[in-house]
Amino acid sequence: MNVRLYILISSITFLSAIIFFALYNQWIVFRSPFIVHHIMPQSSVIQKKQITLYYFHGDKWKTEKQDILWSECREKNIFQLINAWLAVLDEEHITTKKVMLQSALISVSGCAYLSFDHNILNKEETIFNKWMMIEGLLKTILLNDIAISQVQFLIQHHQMHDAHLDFSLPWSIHGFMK
Amino acid sequence: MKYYSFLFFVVITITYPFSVQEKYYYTQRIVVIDPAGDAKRTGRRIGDSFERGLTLQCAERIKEIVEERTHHIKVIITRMPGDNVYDLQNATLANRIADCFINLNFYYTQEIKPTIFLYQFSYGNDFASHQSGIVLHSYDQAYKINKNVIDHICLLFKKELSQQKYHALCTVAGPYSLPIKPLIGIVAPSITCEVGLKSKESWSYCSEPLAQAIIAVMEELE
Repeated sequence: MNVRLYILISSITFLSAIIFFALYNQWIVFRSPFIVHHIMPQSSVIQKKQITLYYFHGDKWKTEKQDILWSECREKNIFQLINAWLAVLDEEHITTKKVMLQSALISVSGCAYLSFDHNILNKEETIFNKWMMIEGLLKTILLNDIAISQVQFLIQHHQMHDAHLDFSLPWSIHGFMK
Repeated sequence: MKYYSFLFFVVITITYPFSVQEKYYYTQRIVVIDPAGDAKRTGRRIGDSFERGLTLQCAERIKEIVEERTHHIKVIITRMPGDNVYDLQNATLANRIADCFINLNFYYTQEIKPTIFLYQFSYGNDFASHQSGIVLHSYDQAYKINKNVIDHICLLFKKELSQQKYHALCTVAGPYSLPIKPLIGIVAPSITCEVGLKSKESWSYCSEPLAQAIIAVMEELE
């Protein structure tokens, strides 16, 4: 009698352990019939779009057209757009070293926070050339229809510093060219 | 004798207002010149020298010229060799004493005729500043208090530097309105000059035009 009781208890414990293990590893999933589940799409619509990159070089404005993947997410679009713009500046030797945009976030008020891995401004350049570099970036965002109102420049998630231009406040997307 | 005394009295009476006018015509004005760089910040490289040393030499020369030619303009330079300049230190000084603040910068150029760029401070939205009564301004909006005077002196600076006699020396660009860091928080009329140099010795060519422009601007402010 005792042996049968031990076998029964052992079997129940063993089965409970298997059920618990299966639940823990999500081999068994319980779903309530009273809660309606909506299946969210994994990604929004992505399509190819031609963008225009603007930059100031040799005392005049230049443009370059490229195709990039365009989604409904503004942050992703800004990220791709600015990195494409930075790649062009690097190819044209306008920036002295390769700079990448680390992350882009947009606040509810429409201010884009752009964090670069290095300073995009060369400290040996004139104020005018540094200004034109920033204007090129702003113009590229504005004329590619990304709806933001201001841009806050950051380096590795800290405020960008320059000896001549102040970046403690966000710059208007329209820049300062009259 | 009475006749001569009367004549003397008449002459003195007539000429006294003119002599007083001559004496008090010019009020004492203070111009603060801020040469770019300090002990920690060398500034740009120009030849085998740095911007901070050249701007300081140029500022000292401008001070000599201005104080030689006028008696009513006192020039104060914001730093001595080896001094550190902290954020808003110049703004604090300028807001206490200055009638005009000039930030001086140099850059290296290979152009035959270097360009002098002129800048004034702005964070945009300048038109929404005219309010009556007591108005509080944040430090980045301090320039709005004397916005009209700043616009005026910038144009005067440009006019003075664009004179025919300086045509062979340089071209003038601006004034551009930008958030210029050394001008932030300054209430007095302020301007940034950025001068192109072909070599480290060529700073001397710009001291005379800049000094003359300062004198003209201060006389215009009278």
